[in-house]
Amino acid sequence: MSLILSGVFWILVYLALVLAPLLVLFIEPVPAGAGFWWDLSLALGFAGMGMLGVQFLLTARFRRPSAPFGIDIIYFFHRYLAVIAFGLVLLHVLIIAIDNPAAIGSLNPLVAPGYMSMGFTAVAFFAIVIISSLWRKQLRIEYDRWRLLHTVFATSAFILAIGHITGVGYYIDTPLKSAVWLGFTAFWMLLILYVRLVSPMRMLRTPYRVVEVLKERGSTWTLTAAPDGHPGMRFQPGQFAWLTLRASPYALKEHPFSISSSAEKPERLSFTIKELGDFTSTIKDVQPGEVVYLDGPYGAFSIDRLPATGCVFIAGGVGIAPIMGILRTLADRGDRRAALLIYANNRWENVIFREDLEALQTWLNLRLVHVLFKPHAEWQGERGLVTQELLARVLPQDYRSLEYFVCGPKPMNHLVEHALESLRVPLHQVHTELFDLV
Amino acid sequence: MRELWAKRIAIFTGLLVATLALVFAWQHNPPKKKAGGTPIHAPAASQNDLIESGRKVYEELGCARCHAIAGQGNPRHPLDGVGAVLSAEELVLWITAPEEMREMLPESVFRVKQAYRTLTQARLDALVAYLKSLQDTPPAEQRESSRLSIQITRHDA
Repeated sequence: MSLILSGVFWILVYLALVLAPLLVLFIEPVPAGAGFWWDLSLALGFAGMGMLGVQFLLTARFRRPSAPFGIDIIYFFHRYLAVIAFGLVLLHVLIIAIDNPAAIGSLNPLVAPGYMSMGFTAVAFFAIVIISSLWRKQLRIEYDRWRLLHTVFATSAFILAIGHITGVGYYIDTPLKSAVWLGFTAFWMLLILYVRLVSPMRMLRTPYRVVEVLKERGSTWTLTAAPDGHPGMRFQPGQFAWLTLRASPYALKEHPFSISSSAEKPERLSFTIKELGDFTSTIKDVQPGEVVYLDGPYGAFSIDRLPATGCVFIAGGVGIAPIMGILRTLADRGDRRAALLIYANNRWENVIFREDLEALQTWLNLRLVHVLFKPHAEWQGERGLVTQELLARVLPQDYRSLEYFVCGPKPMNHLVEHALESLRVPLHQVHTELFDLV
Repeated sequence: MRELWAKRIAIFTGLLVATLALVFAWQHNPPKKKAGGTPIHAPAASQNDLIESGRKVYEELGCARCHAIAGQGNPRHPLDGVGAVLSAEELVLWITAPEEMREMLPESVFRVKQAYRTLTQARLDALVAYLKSLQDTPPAEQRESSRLSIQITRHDA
């Protein structure tokens, strides 16, 4: 099945799952109407639940459903969808609160019936999940702590919401509807168990060992690991994996990093990691022989997915990591397709893989354009940001027929995307790796 | 490009489910007049005090979570006109759910109503007086729904 057909299929499956709880409402016998706003509020509650239930599926990292889209975009989608779903749940509460405040009753859990308290608590927990995800950095919540908080509150909120629906019981009080609802609940619960128990167990059985940790330019380290007692993973160049170091796969202390080594040499996987936070600052201390767990490969940022005649890679800083993986793979394959790398950095001395890229030019049909934001006095090359003017200057004549791979800080990605759009490069030929998921 | 499509599909999903929710609400609620449900007779002053006390008991117990009066509260089980349909003795039975009512109520509702058996006589009398004061005859379709709710009421008073 082609990627497009596969994508359409999984979108239809997704829509069916989202709509199912809502469609249960339409199954006869439907209770008599209780007023437009009342019924709209309840239907919105079910709609929100359908969308929230799917969140567990979206983040379960199933390789086949995520392959057509790339799991990075699935996580972004998860984020957008959760905000909309939470909006529907809030509307569910607000409509009743405004139209019929008496029906809400007391918020005091000592007075309110259990199912109402469960509903209120679920909304509060969902709010915590949304706020802590959208503004994690501003709230200074450390990533590992956020993941734990996210998992605990999201799962609790969902279970409480199911308790609320079951307690209210209006629309699921026939045997058929009860059975369907029970089926949904069981499905989502099994999914949570799979993600939190089965998936980590698989990682535990396929450990990797650190082979070496190399210092790169610009406070960056390359950690190389090899499979320990198993064949390892096959991956496409440019993909990434979640990495767990000095912790159990059950500990929810994993971090996504691009694979910077060649896909033709899967017996050793390298991850190039810049010191940017608590976890990344510990990479330099990792010793050869230490156990590392990998969950992957994931991602759609790969040249292997496209029949490209030529490619333009645009990297910013450590965004070179997946592109380096692609270039190394192309070199190992003896691929002589024309490639252009526009590589933006602050300073010349911090250009990661500077020497390796020079060497790769021997093996590849690669043109290299360095762009420095803070160049030294003698710098003769491109300077400033990767703007439309710069691109127009350095791109080849047939630039509109090429495939573009963009990976860098978010502002750079957006600037480049807009510049390429202005240069009338078809959007479907521009592939951006989405870092910084939360 | 992919981010744009992710946004589009998320928004499309939101609009789709919101539309279905609207269709559901619209389909099951053709336009109709609102029920009445306010007391219509003019009780004596002391009776008025009792009714007012009963109204407070109704609010304190959170009866509106499961019942509606004059459109306020859970519209699934309206109590408009209940005073004209049930006697004071019958109201006491429905409120306190003694053992003989077990067959007529879902188990969860029966359990909830057990708490009302601890109501003091004065508070119970006041609540009954308040409910008896609800004499308004609701419109035909409301009457049917009200009658049904009294027969197979699923939630607490």
